[in-house]
Amino acid sequence: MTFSMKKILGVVVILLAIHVFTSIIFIIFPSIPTNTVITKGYKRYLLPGPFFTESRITDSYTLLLSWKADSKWSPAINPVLDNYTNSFSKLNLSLLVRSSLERDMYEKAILKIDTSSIAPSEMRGVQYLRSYMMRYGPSSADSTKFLFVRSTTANFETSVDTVQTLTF
Amino acid sequence: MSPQDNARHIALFCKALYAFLLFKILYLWPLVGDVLDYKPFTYNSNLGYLLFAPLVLTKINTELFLGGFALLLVASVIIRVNYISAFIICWFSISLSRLFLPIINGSDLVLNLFLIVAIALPLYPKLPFKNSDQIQKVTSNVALLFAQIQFALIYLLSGYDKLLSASWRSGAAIDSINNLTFFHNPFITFHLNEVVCIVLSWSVIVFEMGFGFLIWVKKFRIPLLVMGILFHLVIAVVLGLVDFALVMMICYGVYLPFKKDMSDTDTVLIR
Repeated sequence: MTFSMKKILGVVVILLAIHVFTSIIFIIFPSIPTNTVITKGYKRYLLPGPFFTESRITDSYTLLLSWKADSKWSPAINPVLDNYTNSFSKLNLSLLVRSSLERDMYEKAILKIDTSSIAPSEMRGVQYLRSYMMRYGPSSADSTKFLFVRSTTANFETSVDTVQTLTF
Repeated sequence: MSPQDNARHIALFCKALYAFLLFKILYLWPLVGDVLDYKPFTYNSNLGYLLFAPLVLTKINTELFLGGFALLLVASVIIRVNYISAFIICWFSISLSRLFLPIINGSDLVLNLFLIVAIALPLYPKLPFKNSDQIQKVTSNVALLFAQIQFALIYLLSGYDKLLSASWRSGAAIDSINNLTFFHNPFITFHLNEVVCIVLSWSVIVFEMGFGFLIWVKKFRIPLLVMGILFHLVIAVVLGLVDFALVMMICYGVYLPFKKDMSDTDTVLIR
């Protein structure tokens, strides 16, 4: 190995040591703001995670759908949960991801909706619910009801409450 | 260890990543229309044009991008691992993650990180300058060492975050995962009492924290990798995080090639 190669390797070892030290700082002090290119790069790309953080495993939202036809309300269905369950029984990862996508869609859509007065900015959420009904409900329904339910677990206790009831 | 052994190992690791990526494309493909309806992709900056340039193909036809990428991956699994295909795959993978932004998860972040590192891993084609052979080998070994460091740091980060979390320390996090809808396999139901939750929770914390340090000690390496595989198999089956479990298990491959002690930096860098 040539002398210049040894020098280059020395520099590489020093750079790796600096990188490890910097990463450990980011690990020990997770509240360091990510407002610069370096901090953002480190926290987002070089140190992916942490996974399964406390905030991600506290709440779970479900969207129940029911419709009225011939003056009768149908039993509530939960197609997103059905997709989730079927993904395991059919070993179909596409269904699992679809369930994840739809949860993201309805959580973001419905949590924005203020039922007292639906402002134009909330129309996207309403449009989403209409498309949800068109996908999973019958086209002949007179009315549609959405029940948005939150399950929360904390300190070994689980509670369930209805966040929104929307009827169209 | 001979350089040839290392080249074979690098090829196996890179091709495993490519095969995983191909698998990912296949199960994401049916969702592309819904994802684009939900959050259409647009270029917002010059950096975006550069970083996500392969997504220009989606403006013509989304299937063209996915199909082209799938074919590239099939070809890359067959041909010799090289700088050019490694770079193009990494570029396309970052673009794929951007296209499926609403549904990306930890597996995509880990995958892209290791695909970036994988650009420097190949030893082919031979570069046409003096001492290139030696430089390519050193670059490859440094990249491999960097991959090992990053993987250990990911575990350390995850373990330390759990150690700071009251709900992980008390075992309540395990209870949450076990009881909340959409967090576990609905066909596998456990009735876990508080003591079991605490034991499981601390086992995860100790494993993740311990991995970051003990993986560098030769006698702990194989037991840790075996424990890790079991840990991720449980994650895949019980939590349904198949993609995350697979990519983590593939990345264990970065620790396998060296017969000598990996904590000896000279062994890695200077052969």
